Amino acid sequence: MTFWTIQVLNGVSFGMLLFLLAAGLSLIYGLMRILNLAHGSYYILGAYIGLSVVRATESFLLATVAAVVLVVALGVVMERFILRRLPQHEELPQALLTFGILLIVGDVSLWIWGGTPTQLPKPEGLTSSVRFAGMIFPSYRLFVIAVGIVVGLALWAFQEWTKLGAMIRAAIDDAEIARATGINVSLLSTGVFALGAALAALGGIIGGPLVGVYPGADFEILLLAFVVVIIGGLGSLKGALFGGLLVGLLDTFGKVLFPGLAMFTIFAPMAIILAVRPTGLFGAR
Amino acid sequence: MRRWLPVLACLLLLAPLLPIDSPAQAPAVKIGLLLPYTGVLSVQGIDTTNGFELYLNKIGRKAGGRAIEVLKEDDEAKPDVALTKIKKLVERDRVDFLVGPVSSVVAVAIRTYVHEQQTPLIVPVAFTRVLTSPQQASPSIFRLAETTDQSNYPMGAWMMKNTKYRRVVVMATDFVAGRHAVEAFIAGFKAAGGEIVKEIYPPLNTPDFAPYLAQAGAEKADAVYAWFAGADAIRFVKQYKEYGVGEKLPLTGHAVLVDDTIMPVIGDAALGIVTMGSYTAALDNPDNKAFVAEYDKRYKTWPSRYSDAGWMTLELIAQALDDLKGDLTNRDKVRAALKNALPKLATPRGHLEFDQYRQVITPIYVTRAEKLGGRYVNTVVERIPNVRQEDVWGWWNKK
Repeated sequence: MTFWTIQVLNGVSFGMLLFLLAAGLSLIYGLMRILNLAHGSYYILGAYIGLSVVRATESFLLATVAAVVLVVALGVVMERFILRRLPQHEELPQALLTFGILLIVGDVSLWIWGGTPTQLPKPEGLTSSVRFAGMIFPSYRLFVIAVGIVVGLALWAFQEWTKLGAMIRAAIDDAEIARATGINVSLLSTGVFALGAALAALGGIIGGPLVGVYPGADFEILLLAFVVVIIGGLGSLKGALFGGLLVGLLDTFGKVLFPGLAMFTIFAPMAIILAVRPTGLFGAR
Repeated sequence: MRRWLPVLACLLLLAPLLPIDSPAQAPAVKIGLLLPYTGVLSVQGIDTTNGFELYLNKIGRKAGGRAIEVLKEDDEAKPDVALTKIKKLVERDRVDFLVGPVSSVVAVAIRTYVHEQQTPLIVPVAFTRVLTSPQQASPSIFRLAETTDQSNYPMGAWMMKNTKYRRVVVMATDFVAGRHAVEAFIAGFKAAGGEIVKEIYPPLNTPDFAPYLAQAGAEKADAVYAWFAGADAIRFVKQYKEYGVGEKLPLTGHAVLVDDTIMPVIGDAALGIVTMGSYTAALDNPDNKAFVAEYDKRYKTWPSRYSDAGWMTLELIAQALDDLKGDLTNRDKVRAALKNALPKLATPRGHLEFDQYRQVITPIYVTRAEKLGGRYVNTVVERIPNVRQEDVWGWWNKK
């Protein structure tokens, strides 16, 4: 029993990390029809910037702020000055361009931070483990789950109850009509892009102490985020959350039950879901 | 002036192509390093290079009357990348010696190429047993790293004699080095009368060991024996502590688990872990103390067994160059010189020799991770002298 409870908690905490990444990816696609491959760069940059700030100031909070601000700045510059110039509704130039940025940022990080794998230190007070009914569980993982829940609730409330959220939903449903009703879709797009970048940077900071930072982490996490988005459905926050949890749990239990088939247990369900529901679990289109 | 500008520009462009050395001077000896500088095993690659360069500076960048030129290639610990890079080093750069690799997978992948090209390869880190087995050993391959057998097999008997561990869970990375390491331990432990309860093999570069740790923690056993390297080892040892598995099952393993290089990152979670390996900065002999002091002065940290390996690699090559007086024209003589150079060296590990397969005969140490004066150190618990691969490979190499 203890064994399974711990595994479920493991799966959920990893799933929450994936949710942070997939949420941004999904929102950006939903609103702008841009499949942003550079999303992995936001993750790795968030983690590396966080690492540098933590080393200099020993403040996890300051690191989070610095990483989010810098990565958002990069995201906004990318959206305003690079992605805008591309022809609309053509996927190949977008994919090539954002993939190029992913490679460039990866190499620049290698240049600045070196190739040695490292880990972000955990924030003060979260380094120990929680003991409960004979179980021992790292408190940091509980913190990751809590962050995921808070971010999820905040995003949901934002989308459902605020005017800005309603505008985003309208623009996702039909950008033309939204524009006709006087919504500044262009500004909205930049805002959503910034939000997505912020979530990915947060993911980097949160994931840094868990899975570490190293060259290639951007690709690995991007791949998983894509699986999440494909399972959950592009453009859906609910999809990102459930997809994230599903992939997190599949990954954990796959490793426990069929250790030799670690990748298979993620991609086989993805293929089945794609076959049955090509738009993903919660995808509208 | 203006019309001369293009001519000037052309001259400037061509200048680097002109020979600067006087033709009478012997060309530099080229040594190609094929090591991982990025990825999960990069710590090992960088440390090996650091040790190598420290010795290079010590001898004034020359040996046997010739200057030494070093070419570094990043193999990323990937066999396909390594094969491309080694071909570049051998066929385009025409290096005289090769040094590397770290990854055992890479070692297996490049073995035949090296054997055919006959460029001497000195292996500082990769330790899979097959590279110097009677079937695979090549006259061109010399290994200073101990084999998987030499530093894992004796641990079984040591544990039976010195601890109460009788039922052990084995955990290792699912690739050739990890598999070969724990296979040797399992053979040694079973031969000494121990029992293996469970074997768990996570893939290389596992981001999260939590699912595997919960499995190990659920077993009725006395201890865990593990082999994880680099970034994997950092995550594994830290999470092992966080999940409280260590309270029930003490962690033991091969030295790679708590390498001197990664211990500062692992922190207190490493303390008390008993491992077996071929080198620790804590070795108490004058040659090692001098080496540690010099290394500490240059890099502000203590050397790891990779730094030691890098240092010894060049020590070996330099000795051979001196003995040959810089003459590398005869490949057989070069090989003989390398083989005969090792016993002449005063290495931090002590006196070393090659066996008939050009595999090092080395002392092996049982060490415990401790914190002394704010520094994480693997202190020596026991020294096992002159461990030969031929003494510990009987479990698979039945002649």
